[in-house]
Amino acid sequence: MRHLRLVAQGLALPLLLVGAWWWVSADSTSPYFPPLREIVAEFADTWLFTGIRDVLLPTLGTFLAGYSIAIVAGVVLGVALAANDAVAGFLAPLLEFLRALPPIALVPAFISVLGLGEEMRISAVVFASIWPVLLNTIDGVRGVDVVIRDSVTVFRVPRAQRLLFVTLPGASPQIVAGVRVGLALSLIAVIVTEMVTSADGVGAFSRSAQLSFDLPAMWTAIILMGFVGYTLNLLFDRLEKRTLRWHLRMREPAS
Amino acid sequence: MALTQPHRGRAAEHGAALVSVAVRRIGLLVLALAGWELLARILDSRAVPAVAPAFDALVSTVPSGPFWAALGGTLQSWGLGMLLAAGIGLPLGLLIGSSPLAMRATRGVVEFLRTVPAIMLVPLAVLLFGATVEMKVVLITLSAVWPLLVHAAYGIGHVDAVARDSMRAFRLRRRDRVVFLYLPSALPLVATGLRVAATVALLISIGAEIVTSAPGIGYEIALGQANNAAPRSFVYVLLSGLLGVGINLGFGALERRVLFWHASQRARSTA
Amino acid sequence: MASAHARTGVVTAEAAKRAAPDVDAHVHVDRLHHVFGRGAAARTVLGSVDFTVARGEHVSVVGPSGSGKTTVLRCVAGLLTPTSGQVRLDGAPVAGPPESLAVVFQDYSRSLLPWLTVRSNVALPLRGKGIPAPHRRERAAEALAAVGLKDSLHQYPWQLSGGMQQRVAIARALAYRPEVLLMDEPFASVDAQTRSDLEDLVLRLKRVYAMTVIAVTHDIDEAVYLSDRVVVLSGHPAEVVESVPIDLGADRDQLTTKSDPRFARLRARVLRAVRH
Ligand SMILES: Nc1ncnc2c1ncn2[C@@H]1O[C@H](COP(=O)(O)OP(=O)(O)O)[C@@H](O)[C@H]1O
Ligand SMILES: [Mg+2]
Repeated sequence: MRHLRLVAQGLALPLLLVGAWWWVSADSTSPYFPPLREIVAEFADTWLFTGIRDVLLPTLGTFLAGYSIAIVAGVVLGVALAANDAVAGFLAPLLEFLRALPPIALVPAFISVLGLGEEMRISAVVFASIWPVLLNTIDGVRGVDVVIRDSVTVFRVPRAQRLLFVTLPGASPQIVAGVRVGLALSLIAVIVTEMVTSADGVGAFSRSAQLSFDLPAMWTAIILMGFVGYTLNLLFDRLEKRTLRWHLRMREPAS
Repeated sequence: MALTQPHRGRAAEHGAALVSVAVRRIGLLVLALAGWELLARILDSRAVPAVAPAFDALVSTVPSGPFWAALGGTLQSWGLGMLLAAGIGLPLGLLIGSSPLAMRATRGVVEFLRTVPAIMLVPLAVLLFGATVEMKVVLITLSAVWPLLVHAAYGIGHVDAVARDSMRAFRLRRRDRVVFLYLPSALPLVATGLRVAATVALLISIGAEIVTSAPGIGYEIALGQANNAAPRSFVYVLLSGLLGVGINLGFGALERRVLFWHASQRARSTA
Repeated sequence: MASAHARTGVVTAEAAKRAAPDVDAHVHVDRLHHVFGRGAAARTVLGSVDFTVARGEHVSVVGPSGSGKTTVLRCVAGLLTPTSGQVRLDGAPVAGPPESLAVVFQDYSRSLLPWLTVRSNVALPLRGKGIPAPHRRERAAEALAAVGLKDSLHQYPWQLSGGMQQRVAIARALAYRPEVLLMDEPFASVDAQTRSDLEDLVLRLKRVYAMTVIAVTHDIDEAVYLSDRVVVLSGHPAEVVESVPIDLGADRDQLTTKSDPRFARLRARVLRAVRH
């Protein structure tokens, strides 16, 4: 009963808003805000399922490739730098600058160097999302090391095992936070590179819809990326809960 | 005498530390420039300029009108967008966060809307407003409003239970409770939201300029690359990086000021 | 054995009630019954808690951790509405925090606001009393002087030691000029030396400020040392198992009072009731 009420409270506003959109836009003659009915029909036509295969999948592929490279490279480099206090301290201002640099600013340079292909797009995604992962890994690992430095018993554990079972789990909350920031940056980077290069993918689709004044198509692309972003974030929440639960369980015997 | 001696010693030590930091910073700068030069030689130097031409471009571009116009164009839309986003997002977030029912009811919508990559709205915004400042301001507002709204909503819910009980037990009036308890409690998360929003706003501003040729730093970056004027383009890339650093430093300083009482700042000042 | 204890407990509780009839009671905790949660998660924490406190009396409520002491105190403070039963202040039922009542919480670092200076923390509750700002500041400074903190007015709570922070919380309650002062394990989070200093501070303050005091603690020595009566809370759900009058007179100090044989006897009696 109580559960039902909570679900109803959560669903009421989304349904209300979609309903209002449908109703208000029903007789819309504005080219910019076509009736939702039209957008839904167009969505089914365009995206189910050829569009998803031919347009969305390339976008997701680029995103996944770049994002996973950034995570792996960021964590590995981060761990290596964290082990080297002097080097990490020396490089810190440069790394901070690279993180603060809006990554999209380098997309034109990436294009000039690497051309318009998949290589360039993946590189741009890596560059966009590696910095938060790298810097958070350094911070996280150093934080754990400071704590366990006092514990002699931990230091009798071989280095590799210590890294896998103590340091990385201990640093995981911060690493995960960096990876989450990277998720949003990766998505933006994929779409911008696609928009600029107009080859394929959702960004290019949306850009060419703009150039041909196909507004319903543009709306469908926005809605599609809303679903994609929402789903990716949900998946991430799941993953985060799991890593953090692991983290908590690791800490329990110690306290 | 006995008192001044160690004092002077500490001052000398402090000075030595400053010198060592300066030496390391300069060393890093030299190293970074060398790396850049190497990169420029390996890659096509028409795309990535070598250090010397970039420096020439820096010297000739910075005093020029277009440089300041581009900086102004980006800063103007960034500032207006941030103001609008804060004006909408903060009050709305605080209101939503003070009611658990409102929190539950809006959660789904907010989560959905804030994960739409704002950059997807660029084509629509361009058709509506053209490649103008208005277009950028709308996009920046739409991307910066969500971190502000969400952080404000969670912030206002982060009131310590014991503090709330104390204020209730002492019968603080509603207005006093809002001013002295709820708003200060929300401040740490609001500050985080502001920093995130400011970073996103800069990113979206530059992204929109690159994609649509609206006036600003991003447009100059794209223009330089397209016209085989890579050194000029890199001046603007550097500028965008400096803006990013400036935003971090500025909002960091603001946080230290406003959140002097918060555990994070206290830890930093004693460390 | 256990039933014998239970019987003596009931007898003394009733005797105490006869000695302090309802009419004179300043605070009457009347058959307080409380259940947390509902459905399958429901937990009855207070069975039927019943005791009275006379005007000017200092009563300590002791009991094992988790027995429901804080819950009782929150009901008295009007911060929690009991499932059934009520608290009466001068005969009037408590619904919401009463005007004449102040609370000192255990967790001083959380009950003081870190963004306000010590003096502003103490003066803040006076805003609701319609006192003009200069008078608020004056009263706060007076109360802080009374707890020995007249040099810390402009510091922030987090710049002070734990014991000093708890003094600020006490000063905040004093400045409020309450008729009833509630304290929830006020000295549980400070070191032993600070604790006995604070105990003596409370004894001293009671002579200056006439107040009815209800203090929750799990420290039996402290309860016996400070109060006129100790109410022992025990069992799941909790009930008052004993109410022990402490006839040690008004003049007490750490050395002579705590080495008094009567102190030892009272202490033992309370301890037996707690273990019951
Ligand atoms: N808000 C609450 N919701 C559910 N259970 C609670 C709540 N507050 C206290 N309890 C439970 O009630 C019992 C008594 O708590 P409390 O009054 O704080 O005990 P004491 O102060 O004597 O240590 C404990 O078992 C505690 O877990
Ligand atoms: Mg308690």
